[in-house]
Amino acid sequence: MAQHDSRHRGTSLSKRLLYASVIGITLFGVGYAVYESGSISRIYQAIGGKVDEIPPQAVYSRAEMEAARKNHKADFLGERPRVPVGADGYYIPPSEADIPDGPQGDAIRRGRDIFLDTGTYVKDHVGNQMACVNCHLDAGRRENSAPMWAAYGAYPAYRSKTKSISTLEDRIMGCFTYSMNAQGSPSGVPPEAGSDVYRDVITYMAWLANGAPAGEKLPGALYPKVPKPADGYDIQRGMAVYQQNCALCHGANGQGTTNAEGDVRFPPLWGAESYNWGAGMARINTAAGFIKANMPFGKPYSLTDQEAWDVAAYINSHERPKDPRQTGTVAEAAQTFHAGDEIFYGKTIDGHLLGTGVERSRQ
Amino acid sequence: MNKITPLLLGAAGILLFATLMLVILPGWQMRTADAPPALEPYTVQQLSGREQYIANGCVYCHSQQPRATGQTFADLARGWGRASTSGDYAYDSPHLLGTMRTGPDLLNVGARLPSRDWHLTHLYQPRAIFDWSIMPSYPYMFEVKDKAGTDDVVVKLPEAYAPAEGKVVVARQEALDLVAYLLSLQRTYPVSESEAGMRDRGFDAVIDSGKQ
Amino acid sequence: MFSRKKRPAQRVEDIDPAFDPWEQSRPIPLFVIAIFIALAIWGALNYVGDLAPERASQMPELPVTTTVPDNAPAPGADVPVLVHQGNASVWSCASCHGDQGQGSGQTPKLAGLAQAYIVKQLQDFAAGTRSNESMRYVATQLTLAEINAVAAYYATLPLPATAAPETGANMARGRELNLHGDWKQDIPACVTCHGAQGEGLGTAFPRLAGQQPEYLFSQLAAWKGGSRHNSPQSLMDDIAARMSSADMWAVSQYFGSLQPADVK
Repeated sequence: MAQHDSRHRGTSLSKRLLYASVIGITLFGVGYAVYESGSISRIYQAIGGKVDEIPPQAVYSRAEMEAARKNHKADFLGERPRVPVGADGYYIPPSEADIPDGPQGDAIRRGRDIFLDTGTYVKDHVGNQMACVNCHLDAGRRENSAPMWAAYGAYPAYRSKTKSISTLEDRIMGCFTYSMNAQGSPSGVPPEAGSDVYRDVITYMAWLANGAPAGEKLPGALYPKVPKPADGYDIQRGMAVYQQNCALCHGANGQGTTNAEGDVRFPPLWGAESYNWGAGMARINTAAGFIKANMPFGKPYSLTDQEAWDVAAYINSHERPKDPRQTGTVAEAAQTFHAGDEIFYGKTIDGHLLGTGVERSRQ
Repeated sequence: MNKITPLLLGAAGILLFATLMLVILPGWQMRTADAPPALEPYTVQQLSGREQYIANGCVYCHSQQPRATGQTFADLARGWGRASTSGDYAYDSPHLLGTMRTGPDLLNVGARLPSRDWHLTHLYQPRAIFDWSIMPSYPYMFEVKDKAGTDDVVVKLPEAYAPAEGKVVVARQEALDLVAYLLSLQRTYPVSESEAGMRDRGFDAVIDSGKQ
Repeated sequence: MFSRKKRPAQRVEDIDPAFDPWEQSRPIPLFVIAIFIALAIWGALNYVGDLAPERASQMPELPVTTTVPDNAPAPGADVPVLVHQGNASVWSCASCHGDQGQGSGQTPKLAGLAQAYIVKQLQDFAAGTRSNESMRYVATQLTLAEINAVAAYYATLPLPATAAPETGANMARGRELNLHGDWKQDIPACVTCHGAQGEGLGTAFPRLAGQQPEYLFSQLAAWKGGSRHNSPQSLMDDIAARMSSADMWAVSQYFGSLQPADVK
């Protein structure tokens, strides 16, 4: 048997084990740190691997804001609570589960109900089959869909439409007058100033805007501006876009979809049951902005600018209830109220003067 | 040979360690496991079908152990059923856990594909349904007859795979038994807490990670 | 040719007494022991982590197979033959979809689905825009009249009760997604199109309430993965692509537990 060298270079077994343990623990620590830092999954994704996604965390969540508010109460000169902002850069409104109890919460809930099903909760003042949520998606939360948390802090303001200062209540009254076609409602008028309808809706809006700053135009407010395409807009092209993208839900004849119980699930876009000529949505540029960012439902920004303008033009080229401000002829109203607007009001298409209006059939 | 004693001791030690961790400890953990009340013992026909399953080597391509969602959602997404527990195999002797997924996992195939006729067609010729399938066909479990007898089970086949004019394919007893066994493979009853606790990684982790 | 001189075999020890054919045995290098220790630590932590028994309470139990009400009407004379017996080449619908059309596992419940929807799905199976080999086998061998007949039959079937128990944490997330969606990820509320009670809307938006949860999950996964691409305007493709697996599972379980006449 050959001899073997039993020298251990001077270190004993226990010392070697000790050194090895230290190195081993360090190795484990390094490996763990690499794993926890996420760089492995980043490299994996960079070379094309797909990882099941965890939604990105908010930049500043509402929970952090609430905590900061508590601290700020105790220490007024300390760090101020900030605006809750999501990973996408937009304000984070509170969710339904956060509606408080008590009379304030009840008012918020009533306001939310009015918002979601206006025709049921404000029967006497709604003259069509629309609801607030049709144009202000996700119960007024959705950014780029004229969210309520952005609107709340923007009023009172001077409005060129009315050439006067509008409070928030005035503004909502305007929504009833035009978008909800109050003139066709059983009462024929929007809810009167000081009505509980406004009280509840404004409470709801205030709750949504809890944490959003007032007085500045927030990202995601209103509808995005879609530049008018160089080609302009074309009703025929718009009809093709409509049939491919809109008719499935809004009907081939634009009258929306009702379910078996007769509830309106997708609103009508023209005709007697839709918004009237005084509504902002009747303007092609406004409608194009809404459509571009929100439609088809669940497919935001899926249409090109050209398609958005074309289909907006097609939708707004149909007749709808008349502008309630019209006192004389359509031409006069066009001159007084719609001069400079991108709108078909007062124009004649296929021999029909748009703006003449249609009325609801007697029920 | 140098240091043969430590070498042999080390090797034996590793084997012992493996046996301890993979056989003895799990066996001890499972010692109190009873057969779940919802699990029925196999009938005679199902047992003889099980023999067919073994004889035809199905275990070489088909496993019978769906994985937990803690490991992957894939098995659940494919409809192979919830992760199995030790009680699911209470009457399986020998167990047919399998390791290969050349074909799908079969522990819940009776719940997933409860159609006897489908299985007969598929066994007779898998490519009649899945034209990309590499599963072998089992024509010897069937018989081509001129006319079906009163008790015969005729296999439904498309024209391309049907036998020549007028003849029918009839299932032999082997095929019927095997299909009866396959249809008995259903472990969809919920598991008890203790059973679930024995399963590594439980049934979750992925699901709970996306919480508000 | 050189003649080989025969030499006596020489022994190695005679040439070089210090020659040792075996390599000097060295002590195991430090880094090898260190790697072994690191692996042992990792393995031990893994094993201990896997032992956690408290996870059992959070498991998503799959529902017991659906019970079928006893008062379901017996098949009448006008039930298409295909439904319960099939034909020479096609298996009976009921052999997979159940006697009451209740489905099981990944096989959908057909009872109560709109006729036009079923017809479209069968045609899509035949065309390949919806991937399922067994259904493709069936759909390619049916005539349009047969398709219409079975679809009409299933559309009028009463809805079997769902017996799925609550599964805890996921139901809240599923309910949230159903009623409000998750707009931060551009996931709209399911109720908008599929009805306030998940009953569906028209022929384009099928009933989801009471549908088999594994089926719903498999279809969401199919849209996300691309093997199903027959959704009008690829609406569901986009929505499913934005959902995580956990969300898909939650919403499937939630819908699976809704009784046919459920209220929110």
